[in-house]
Amino acid sequence: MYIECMTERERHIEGLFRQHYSAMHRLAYLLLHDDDDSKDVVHDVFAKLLVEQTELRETTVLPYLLSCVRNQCLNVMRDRKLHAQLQQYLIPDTVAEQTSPEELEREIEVLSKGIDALVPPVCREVIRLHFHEGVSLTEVARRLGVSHTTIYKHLHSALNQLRLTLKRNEM
Amino acid sequence: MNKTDLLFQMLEQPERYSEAQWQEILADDECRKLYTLMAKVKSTAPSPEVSGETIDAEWERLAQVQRPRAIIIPLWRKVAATAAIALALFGVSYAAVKTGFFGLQRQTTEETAAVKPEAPAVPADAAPGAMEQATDTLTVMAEPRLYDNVPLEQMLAELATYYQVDVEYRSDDVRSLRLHYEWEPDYSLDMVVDMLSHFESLSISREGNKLIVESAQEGK
Repeated sequence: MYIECMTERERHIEGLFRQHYSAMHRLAYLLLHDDDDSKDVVHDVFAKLLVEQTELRETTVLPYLLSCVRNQCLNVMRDRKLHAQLQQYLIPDTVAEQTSPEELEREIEVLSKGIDALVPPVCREVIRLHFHEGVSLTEVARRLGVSHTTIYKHLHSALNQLRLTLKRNEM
Repeated sequence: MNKTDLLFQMLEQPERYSEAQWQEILADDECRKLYTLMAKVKSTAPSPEVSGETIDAEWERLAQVQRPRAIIIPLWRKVAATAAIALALFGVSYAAVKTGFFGLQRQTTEETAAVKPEAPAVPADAAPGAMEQATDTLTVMAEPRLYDNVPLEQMLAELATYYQVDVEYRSDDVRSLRLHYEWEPDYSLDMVVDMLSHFESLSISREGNKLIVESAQEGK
């Protein structure tokens, strides 16, 4: 009897796993900026679900799962030493804690559009190379054939424009 | 150099600056907001695509960890239940034959032997740990463990087997550290790392499927 009950719950959890994995992984990636860490977070959330007997209602299960992901990400962030957090550009845990998954997703969407609209184009290139491709600012300067100081100027300008974009969208 | 340029420079190589220096620059409101914005810009990087194969592999990874615990304990009970039923049936069969329920007035030695149940793999009155002891560490670890004054190396060897991770020691002196630690099978690996990190003389962290262990001095 015990085995049959466990298998039925396990089947239910597997269904939720397959249905919601992408959304959960995405939220973890927004917070942790690392694929392996994100997979581990989703793994740990479901590992805990399989052990606990938490009732999962269909209407609230996704918000609940995303909340679990955010909390687990906060645990990961707090376990990281400060230098490791900064190297990964982790969002400060106090900010992540106060931002719902939906708000964070909206904010990221607004920023993405803001990046596409940055002027001059070199500002877009600096953001893309440094934040999306992980190229150091020193290397960005070398690739674009400009000085460090110029790169800092472009980065500053890009971030100012993005700050105003968020403000215009009331974020 | 203005403070925002300093922030950009520090972010190039964060490890070159002390925690105190970081606390100082991030105490500045403008710098803190700028860093937070940069962190959110980092979040705009395209997230890796999650394919069906990835989800399959991740489910299998999860199932591998959960399956032994789900099977072993009930299986012991199942064997005990089967043995109990078999013994009960034997009793019923013997009584039925003796009283003539099957229409027999007598039984021969062979008939008596034929109604005896097969001996179960584990005797019904075996100690609860008998089945677990016959298997590997993974099944033995399905119960809570108290590590009382146990060398760290021995403890981590068992935990590493349970969680299927490797252990890398970056300091030899920590291997012989003796700890008192109460472990529950429900703990996730991250919980274990978090708890062990509270020992002052030990620095333990996780990198994927590997635990990095060193003395607290070297870990800073």
